[in-house]
Amino acid sequence: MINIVLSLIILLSGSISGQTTGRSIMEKVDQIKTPRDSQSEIKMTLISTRGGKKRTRSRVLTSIEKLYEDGRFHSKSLLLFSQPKEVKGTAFLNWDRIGSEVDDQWLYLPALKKVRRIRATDKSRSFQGSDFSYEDLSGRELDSDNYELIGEDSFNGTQCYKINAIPLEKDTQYSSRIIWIDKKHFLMKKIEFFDKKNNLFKILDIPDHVKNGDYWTAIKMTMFNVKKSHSTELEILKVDYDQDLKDNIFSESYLKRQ
Amino acid sequence: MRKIILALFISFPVAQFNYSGEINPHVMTRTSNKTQINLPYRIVSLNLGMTMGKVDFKMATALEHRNSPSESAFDIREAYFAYYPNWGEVKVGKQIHAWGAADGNNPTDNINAYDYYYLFDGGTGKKVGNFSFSSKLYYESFQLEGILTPKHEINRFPYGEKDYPLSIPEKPTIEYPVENDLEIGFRVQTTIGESDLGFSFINGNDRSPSVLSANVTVQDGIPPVINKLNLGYRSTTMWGLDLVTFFGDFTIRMESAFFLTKTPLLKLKVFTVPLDLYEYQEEINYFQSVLQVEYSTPSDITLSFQLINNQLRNQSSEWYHTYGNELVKFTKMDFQPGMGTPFAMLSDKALLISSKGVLMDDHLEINGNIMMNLDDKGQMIGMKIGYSPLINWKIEAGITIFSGDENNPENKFTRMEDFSNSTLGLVYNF
Repeated sequence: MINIVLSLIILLSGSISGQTTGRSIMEKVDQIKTPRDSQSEIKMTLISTRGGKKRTRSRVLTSIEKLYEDGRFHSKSLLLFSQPKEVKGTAFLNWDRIGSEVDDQWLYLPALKKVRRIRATDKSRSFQGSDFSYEDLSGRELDSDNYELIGEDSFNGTQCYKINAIPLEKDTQYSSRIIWIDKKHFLMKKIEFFDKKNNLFKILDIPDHVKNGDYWTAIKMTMFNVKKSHSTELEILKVDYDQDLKDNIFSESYLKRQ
Repeated sequence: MRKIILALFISFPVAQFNYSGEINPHVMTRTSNKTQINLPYRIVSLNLGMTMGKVDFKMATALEHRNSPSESAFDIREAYFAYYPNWGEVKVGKQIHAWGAADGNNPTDNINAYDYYYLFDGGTGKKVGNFSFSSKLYYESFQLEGILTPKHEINRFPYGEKDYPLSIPEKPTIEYPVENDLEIGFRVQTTIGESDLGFSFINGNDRSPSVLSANVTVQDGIPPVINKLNLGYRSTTMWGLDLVTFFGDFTIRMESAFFLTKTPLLKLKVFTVPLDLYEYQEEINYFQSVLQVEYSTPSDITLSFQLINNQLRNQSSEWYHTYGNELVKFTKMDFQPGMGTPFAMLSDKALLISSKGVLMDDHLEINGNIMMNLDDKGQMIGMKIGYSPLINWKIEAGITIFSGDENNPENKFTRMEDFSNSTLGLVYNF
């Protein structure tokens, strides 16, 4: 559910041969090698503007994720909140089980000293009050959409392919997404999300990437909700890949220890 | 010796320290006449932690303060070592345990005693840490937890607090200390499909005292006169069951506990037993349950409904004259549970509805709750608003109104009416 780092910030480069189509471009994006595990410190800033005055509130959290190839799980992930101090120690564990429609989730609240099993949230809901929905953060399978190359455009001085992605399944909050892909490195630079009535709903900007070892990392991204005139900025403060994270990190015991 | 020291350094190469806490000065004002309710509260809470490899040391402390007269007391609420091997966890020291599936009211959560000054605290703030040894094993979808408590801990009651409506006038003398302090508890939890099922057991002593004997003057032709009630603690065994499951968008949390409590055998010195001593022997079983249904709206407002039940199932009791060893027909004593959710002190059957929402990008937090006594007249309505103008700072204002039965002054909610209050405070988290 919350493959924040893996699905959104990891992108590698590739090249295209033969006829360029929307599908062939997205296949290149899909062929990107992903790390086995990652640990990142993320600053999430909620930004609202009222009466011309900008108001912000930031949270800092650590995201730890691991991909599995054991036939039982797709991935396991852990979110540990450290700012604001009121929520320090709050921890959220997610197991994405193969063959299960809903994830297993647990929440640890230090004030209760108790790990609570919680209901997996509807994917269209906001992630922790931000402008990202759980669906936005979960990433999509290549075969979940039909792709059409609709042109080329420049984004922040980078030449991009513009691709219209139309979902094949009905269980999504969007009717389509227009995706800007960097022509050189095949990095996602911008996505426009359209609601079921084909109105522009949200805009995701990913202006900067840095290469971190084998992987490109999107160090900052901003999701702007057009309807609410509200935005959320995710900034990666620190990230480590392929640390061979142990399985017992993704356990109730570890949740309580933080 | 040098090898041991070296091994310690290798095992614990770096110790990591951490701390957190809050400063929370506030005032509580009676709604009826705007006078201050003068009870102690935790003005500062400080949690310290140290991690060394697989070993943690954790400490939770508080500075308890009373506004008038201004007085403070430092309290170490928890201080324990925790070791985390690959198979689970081991903890030793003064600690607070949390059992049960429901939120706030847990019939099965009886390892620790309760602090009745903080009865309306939703978390572990209302519990008293005890010295214990605990271990938890994680195996596949099972969790097995065992706890040993070598020293009997009792509830903290507000004695002689004129501002606390259910206060006891003075601290009673305990005539019969507990003979066997050792208490044990264990809990097994497993996951079946989408549900978590837990079974728990505790064998220990009551957290609040009961009448175990009385000095009574008996004369022919007139009713017996009780000169003195002698208090001690009953032995109690609990069997608990808890369940968390999901039904569509609803989360169901159920928890129930069956208690068997008995008067212990009093160890009296044969030649010093007063002639007017009558022992009270009783065996009682009672049942407590909580059914909680919770739902989160699309705008992340959490609604929770709790149906709380406390039921006396069977009470057999008898008075007998210790010296003469003969049964007598004295009046049966009122039963008060010595274990279980403290809520049973207020009502035997109640519905608690609570809601919580965070708005304006974490700047505003609103909590509301209604408690309806289904057993008798009485209700409580509460609301609390927290506004955070700056990160880690919050201004909190709340109001709690109790209403009982004007025709029944003994109704608990009637007695709580004068406790209806408004609060105003500042919170700084660090």
